[in-house]
Amino acid sequence: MITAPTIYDWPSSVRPSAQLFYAGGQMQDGGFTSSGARVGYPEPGGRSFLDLEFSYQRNASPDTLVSWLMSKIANGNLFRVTIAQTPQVLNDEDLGLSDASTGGLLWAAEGLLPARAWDGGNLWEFEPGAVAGAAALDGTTTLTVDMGDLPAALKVGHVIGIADTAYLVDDLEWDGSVATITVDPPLRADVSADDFITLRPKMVCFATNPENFRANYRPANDILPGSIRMTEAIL
Amino acid sequence: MSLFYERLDEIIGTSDSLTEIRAMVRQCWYFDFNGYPLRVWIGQGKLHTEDGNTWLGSMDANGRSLLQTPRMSDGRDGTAPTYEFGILLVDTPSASAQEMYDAMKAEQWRVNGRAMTGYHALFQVGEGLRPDTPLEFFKELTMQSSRFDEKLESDGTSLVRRYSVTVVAKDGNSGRSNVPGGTYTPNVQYARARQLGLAYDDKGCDFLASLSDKTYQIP
Repeated sequence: MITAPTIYDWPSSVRPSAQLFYAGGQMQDGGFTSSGARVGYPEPGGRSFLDLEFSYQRNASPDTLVSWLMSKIANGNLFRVTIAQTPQVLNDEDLGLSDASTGGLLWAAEGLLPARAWDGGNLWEFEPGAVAGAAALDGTTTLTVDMGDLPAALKVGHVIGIADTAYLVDDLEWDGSVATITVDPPLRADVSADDFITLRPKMVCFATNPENFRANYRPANDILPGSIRMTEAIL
Repeated sequence: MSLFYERLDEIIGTSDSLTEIRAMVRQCWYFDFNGYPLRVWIGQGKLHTEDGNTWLGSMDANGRSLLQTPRMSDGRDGTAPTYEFGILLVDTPSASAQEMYDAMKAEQWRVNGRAMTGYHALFQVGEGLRPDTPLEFFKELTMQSSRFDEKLESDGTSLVRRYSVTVVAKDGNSGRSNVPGGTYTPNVQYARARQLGLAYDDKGCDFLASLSDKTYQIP
């Protein structure tokens, strides 16, 4: 029996104030030595996690979405969460594309409406990326990434994405504009040459402690969602 | 010795430093359900083995295996313990646990008499979920029957209905005492004669007075 779960997009107005992506899964007990040292080993192919922390949400438009989220994350629904622009994500400035503080790129392309920035001062969202240099099989950990015209700015510790899975750059080696990357978790799907590898990763995950999200809810003007831990959903 | 044990020996055999010991070994179970073979490994995500098969991970995000596996015992003492492999069904967005339970119940004939095999997978550092060490066989069982349980349980605040499916399996020691020919009783002998199409009863066992209706266990 094949089940096709619904995946909700995390509302962009419910923005976490802090966010941390980490990979590698749980530590499993390996055993004890005669001197009492504890030996642990990582779960093979363990899941990645995303910790989200929130500050006060104003009781304007985000409010009802928080209410919707409180129900939706409580019963194991899957969410597609964008990895926020923290130092874990390669920023626009390092890519030579834009001022990172504006959170977007001002395009001068024809036919865009509005032609310049939006009324709110926000710029156009865009998605910088690279392409896979070679095919890689599901379950392996090595990936080649061709950065093309972008600078070779990717470093160990950055988070990249393929489709809806985020990967930590565990190790990498540059050869011109091509990086050979060791990713963690292992690739969750086959990658073909020229597949798009995004530098604005998203992650499909579910909340492991949803009760925490609604714990601080008060019937007040400002509401404070609690911090939650999202765990990667392996589809 | 297989490559599996050679690698394992390499990993743990001569190491004198704790940090070198990184042997990750997990169980893989192959359920040969009639028409729907199923491969499950005790871990997270899909495991790809070098023989080209994909195994489904049974472990949830908390590191708990949803497939409950019994401890295996050594069959050399001649016993045939009953092994039960259970799985707790959970709701998924497109099918409730109850729907899945009913669907599996309707197909339970696929279990009877089918083989299931246990393997060990060895993970080396950096291999991800595609280890290149061949799986190592460790147990073959025969699935005898399935069992379906539904019960009401309290989860602390409310009553919830839980559905679980269990496969009952035995190893090769099972049925060893049922020697060909079976038990020698007059009735069994009559039945045997009828099976052969004889018009009269075979009275060959009628006079085994002291032995009749006794089953002798092979020691």
